[in-house]
Amino acid sequence: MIRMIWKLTAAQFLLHWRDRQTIFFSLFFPLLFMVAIGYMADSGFEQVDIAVIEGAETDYNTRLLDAVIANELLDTQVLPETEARTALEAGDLAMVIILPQDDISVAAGETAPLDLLVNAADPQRGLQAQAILDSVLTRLEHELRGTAPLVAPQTQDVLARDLSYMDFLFPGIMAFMIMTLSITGSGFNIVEYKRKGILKRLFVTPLNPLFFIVSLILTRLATILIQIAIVVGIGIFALQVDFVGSPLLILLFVFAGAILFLSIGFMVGGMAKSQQSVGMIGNLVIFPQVFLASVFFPKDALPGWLQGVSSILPLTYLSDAMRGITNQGMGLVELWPQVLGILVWSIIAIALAAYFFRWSDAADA
Amino acid sequence: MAIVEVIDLTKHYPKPGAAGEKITAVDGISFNIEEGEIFGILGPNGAGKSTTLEMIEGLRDIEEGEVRVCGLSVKNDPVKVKQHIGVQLQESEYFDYLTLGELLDLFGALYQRRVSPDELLAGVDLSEKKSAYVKQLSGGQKQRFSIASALVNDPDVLFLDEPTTGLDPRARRKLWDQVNAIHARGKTIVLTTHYMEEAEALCDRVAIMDRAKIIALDTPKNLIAKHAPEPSRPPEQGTLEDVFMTLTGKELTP
Repeated sequence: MIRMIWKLTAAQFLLHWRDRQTIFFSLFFPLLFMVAIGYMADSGFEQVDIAVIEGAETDYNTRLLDAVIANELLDTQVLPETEARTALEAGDLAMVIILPQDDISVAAGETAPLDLLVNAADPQRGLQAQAILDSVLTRLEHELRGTAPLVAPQTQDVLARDLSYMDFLFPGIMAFMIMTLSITGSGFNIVEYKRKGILKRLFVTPLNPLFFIVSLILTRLATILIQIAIVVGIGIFALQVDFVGSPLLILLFVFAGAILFLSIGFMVGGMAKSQQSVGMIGNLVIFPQVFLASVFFPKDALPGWLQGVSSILPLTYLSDAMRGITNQGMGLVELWPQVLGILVWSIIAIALAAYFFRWSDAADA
Repeated sequence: MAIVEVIDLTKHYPKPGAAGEKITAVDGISFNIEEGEIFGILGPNGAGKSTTLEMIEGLRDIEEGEVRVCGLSVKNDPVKVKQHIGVQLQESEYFDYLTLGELLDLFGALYQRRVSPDELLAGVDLSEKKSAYVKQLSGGQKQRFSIASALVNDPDVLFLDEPTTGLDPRARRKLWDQVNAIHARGKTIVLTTHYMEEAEALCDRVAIMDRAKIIALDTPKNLIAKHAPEPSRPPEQGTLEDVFMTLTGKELTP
């Protein structure tokens, strides 16, 4: 019996890994996605491109230019006027600063004029550049006039560590992979086996359907563990994702999530009478969750009424739990709403799967 | 001694598109299959051949009647019956990305047996295809592989459901040779077909099914003697199939 289950599991495991299309969508696709996001997030915030047109060689102009170049929020180039205007009109620059041609004794209290060119078609970036420039100028003013600033704000992160989008995305991707691998591995697979007559062929043998289900579940658990391990490895070592929580707890939620979504998959497989309908019902379960279940962006970004829907989705519970562990190092006690949510959904899904799933259909290929 | 006993076997299906109405697929049929014979079930499409076979094999619930295989009731002991029989289904695909060797090994495990894929494949002339996938096989090779996979448990009775449908005459002849070879090893073989010459060439006894009933059951010779009309003119020598075989060569490469 053990050998039977082992052989069935090994066979289905081979099937998964030998199918290049499956591997692409279930492993390389999430990885590519993460790496792409990783590179985007690598540059941190986006710098604002501006250009400076040089003016008279005065001490004031030099200091202003140095201060602008030194500001890390600005990506500053020094350009001749015609080139700068062309680049601004083309939308490559947010703002052009024209340094004054006259020698102005600012230290003595004179007010220096400063001409700024912005593209009216892109007011947002123009304003952003101006705001940054304002702070540069204020600092310069205090320096040149020797005055003290009115306030000295001190910013502190609320969280001890700063979280990048990558840190947010990473646990979401894990939850997403668990969902898709589980649902396709259970219901989709069975309907496909049924359509091809593979199930019928299997049940010509004395195989107990229960063993078959066990082997399906074992195959998926092994596949999920391996693929999650690969993703976690790449996330931590190549993309420097923060992972502060307990790896054991993550493992527990990987299992819990797999059981939850395998059950949902069996439920879908039981409800669907054909290959087309399993795809339809399956996508109905998968797609809304991808967008609503705080995988790619926080649910606060959704309109209010959708947030309510979002917060009770199975995938939300799983990705929130994963995120709580990897980002904040939460423990099982703090994660009780998620544990409860996953538990309740699992019970619902298992009950419905048991209701809809009929082995006697296996002969009707 | 009868190795398969079918008594008053009946099956209805719901009529598609008409709720409540039913179609009679198998209508109270009874027959025995003797140990060591090749037994053919003939009939047009939709006569109930496959349904009958699938009920004997334990794949479909028996609605009414009784089937005993090797003395075991299919209704009460389907799992034990499955240990004793080998089944080649009419159309079944196998797992995409498993080689023939791996598939046979897997099927053996489902019977809790260790099998030798090499021997099984050699038995159906597929030795060199051990590491091929099923989708890389030709139609005839696929059917022969199906038969090999039905033999993993060294069954007492081998069921073949339309084994040569869709095969060209050469592949069909080759399959007949395989069936005869398996028969020579003492297996009882039950096959369905709608090719008359196949039944004539292979079967010891033939049951003819039409509209859910068995309308005749005897040896091919007796059936011909009893039911065949007198030929209006003397038959030509051989058949067109013989011509085809002579021209393309009976000794064939797979």
